[in-house]
Amino acid sequence: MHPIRWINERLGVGSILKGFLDRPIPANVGWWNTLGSATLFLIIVQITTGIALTLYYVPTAEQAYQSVQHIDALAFGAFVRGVHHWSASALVVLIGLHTLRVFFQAAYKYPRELTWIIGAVLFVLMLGFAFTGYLLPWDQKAYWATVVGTNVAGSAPFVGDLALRLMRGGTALTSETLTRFYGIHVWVLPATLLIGVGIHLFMVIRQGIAAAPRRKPIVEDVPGEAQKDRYAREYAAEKRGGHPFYRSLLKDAIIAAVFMAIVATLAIAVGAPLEAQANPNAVGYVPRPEWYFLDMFQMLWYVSGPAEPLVVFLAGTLGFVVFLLLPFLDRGRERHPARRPIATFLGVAVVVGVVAMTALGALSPVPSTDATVQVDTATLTDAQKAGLKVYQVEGCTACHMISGHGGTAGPDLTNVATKLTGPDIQQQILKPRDKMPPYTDISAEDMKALLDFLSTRK
Amino acid sequence: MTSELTPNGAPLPSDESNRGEQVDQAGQVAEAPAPTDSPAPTEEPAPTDSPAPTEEPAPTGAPATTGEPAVAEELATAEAAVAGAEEAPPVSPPVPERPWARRTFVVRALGGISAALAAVVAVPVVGLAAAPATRGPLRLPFLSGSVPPTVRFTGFTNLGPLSNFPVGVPTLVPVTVPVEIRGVTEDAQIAVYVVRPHDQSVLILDIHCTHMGCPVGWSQGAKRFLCPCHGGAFTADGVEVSGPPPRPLDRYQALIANQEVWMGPLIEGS
Repeated sequence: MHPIRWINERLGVGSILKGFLDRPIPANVGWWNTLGSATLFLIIVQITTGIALTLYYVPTAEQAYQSVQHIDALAFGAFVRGVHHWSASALVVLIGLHTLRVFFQAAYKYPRELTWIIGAVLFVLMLGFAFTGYLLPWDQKAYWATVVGTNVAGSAPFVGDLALRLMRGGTALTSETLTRFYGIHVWVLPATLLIGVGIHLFMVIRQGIAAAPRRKPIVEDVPGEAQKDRYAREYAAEKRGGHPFYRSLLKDAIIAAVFMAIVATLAIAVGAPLEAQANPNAVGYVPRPEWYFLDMFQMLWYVSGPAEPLVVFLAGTLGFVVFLLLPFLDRGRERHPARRPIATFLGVAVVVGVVAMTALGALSPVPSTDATVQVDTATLTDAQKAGLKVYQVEGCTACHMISGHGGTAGPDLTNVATKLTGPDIQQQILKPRDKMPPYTDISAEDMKALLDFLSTRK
Repeated sequence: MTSELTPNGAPLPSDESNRGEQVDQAGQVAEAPAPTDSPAPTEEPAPTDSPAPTEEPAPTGAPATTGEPAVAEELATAEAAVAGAEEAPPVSPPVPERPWARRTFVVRALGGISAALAAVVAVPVVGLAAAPATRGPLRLPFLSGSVPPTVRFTGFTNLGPLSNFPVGVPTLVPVTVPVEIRGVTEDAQIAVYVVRPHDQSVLILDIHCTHMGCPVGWSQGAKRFLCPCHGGAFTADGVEVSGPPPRPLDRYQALIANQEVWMGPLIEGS
């Protein structure tokens, strides 16, 4: 007897499987619908590679870094860690694209509201995985990103201090924090994720895959018909003209293979990065988070003052609540993007905003503490030379560049005289409009000389 | 997972509403492989009856059920349920209240036991996980300041002769301090800035920006502590002058004794 037939005779799932694979789905379920299954595929990749990493990883401050170095030296170690690292990035991309597909097709409308809500929770869980995961190598990037990240959580009104202590395992960021993040990363989050994914998938199968919205409805309007009845009629019509589910699986497999190829290539060609071991005293280190948190990192530039924590918290909470409860905020019956211009516009605005903030975050300036200024002094008057000296003594060069020498935190002053007048510059020095610190301790004489020097920069 | 049993209590109200109506179709629908959302049986209390549940002892005077195979009976009941109460099989003798009382009792008892078991496991588990929150005084500030990842310790440490530190130029000093981690006190390396604003005074500053905790660097050129994260700037005394930092750099207690600099614990809320 054929082994599969033998097993099925005892297991008896053949008919269930057949029903699952042959169930009709709408004809216009296409390539965009592969994003969810590719996300699922990479989650499985993460679970399996993650399990392999736990066989060697040691979650204490003393040994974490060395154990990661050890993994990299083992057969397949660097590859498995590389896949785990790049697959995490790919997952953030995929779950984002999957969410956008559902948003622009308005697939979260009746009867799939709950599927969206669980999906939104899964999205946040995924960010939780990313955040807790990259502390684990206990390198500089990990350490300082966690310092900043836990501080953001600590900014919540009333419960901030509590949240911060729960995340760090105390007020300081120590070995206890590392062990805690490890437990959350490998037990708490995966358990929650599996439950959530299970429900999410069950609902997708239960309700069928949403048909891509049509500009022109597939069924005639019936006056006075309830939206639910109309949906039932519409979806039945979509399924009548559809095809069996198994045919879509080929597309899913192709996209999964494409992403696996990208992840494996990056794992081999680039590998998982590992900076110097975490050093809480690393003055001079420039903390930057992983690319998927750069947008949030960048947003911290824009609010300051005592109310900042409140603003950050409220903005974050509001954003999450809107994301979570979207199906109840957008209750119109239209699903085609062209027929819901406001939602489509807002969606595009959010995407542009996130991309722009990520780019700005990647390019955000870093003050230089040891830059020197080099200017041809032959053409300068004595007063202007005195101004150059003030420029050096006051440390303008730490943030500003002249002719390719100096820091990049502030604007390049090579041609400043063509853009600003003397009084403008003086105003900026004494009462800066943006991130520049005020320099009110410059004497009137020095200021005059400085402005004289800067007037030659054109 | 025991808490998930609670939703099983959901049919309870409809069960109760039917008590005394001698109808238990609702319960049977839930058991049979029928569509989950066929509300008819619970909404319409049919005076007529269908067979009693198979798992319960058939009461005397319910001949309809006796002798029938269980599966067939369930299916028949399900069909009857789908068809609606109006089309239910005609009169059969009333089922006594007792089986319903038992069902309600079992559901409630299961709910109670599940809740108790869940609490017995969950309370200590959550309590253990939340232990760091109960360490130290509980603060619930409306506006939380940021908390630098600074370690806390007690006692004083000698940082060396005062003459090691030039006036006006902050010096980065590595220090070994006793820190309690996992209940064990160990030596930990930290770094602080020692500043001598004047000849006979000394300040000891934490290296972490009070905005988000990044390590500030002293720029001798700019005469400012500059933060590499969001452009915060502090004077040599640690006073915030620009960017998002909400307060001055944190300070440690500092003493000069016999021309030696001693560092004490962090001044909380400094």
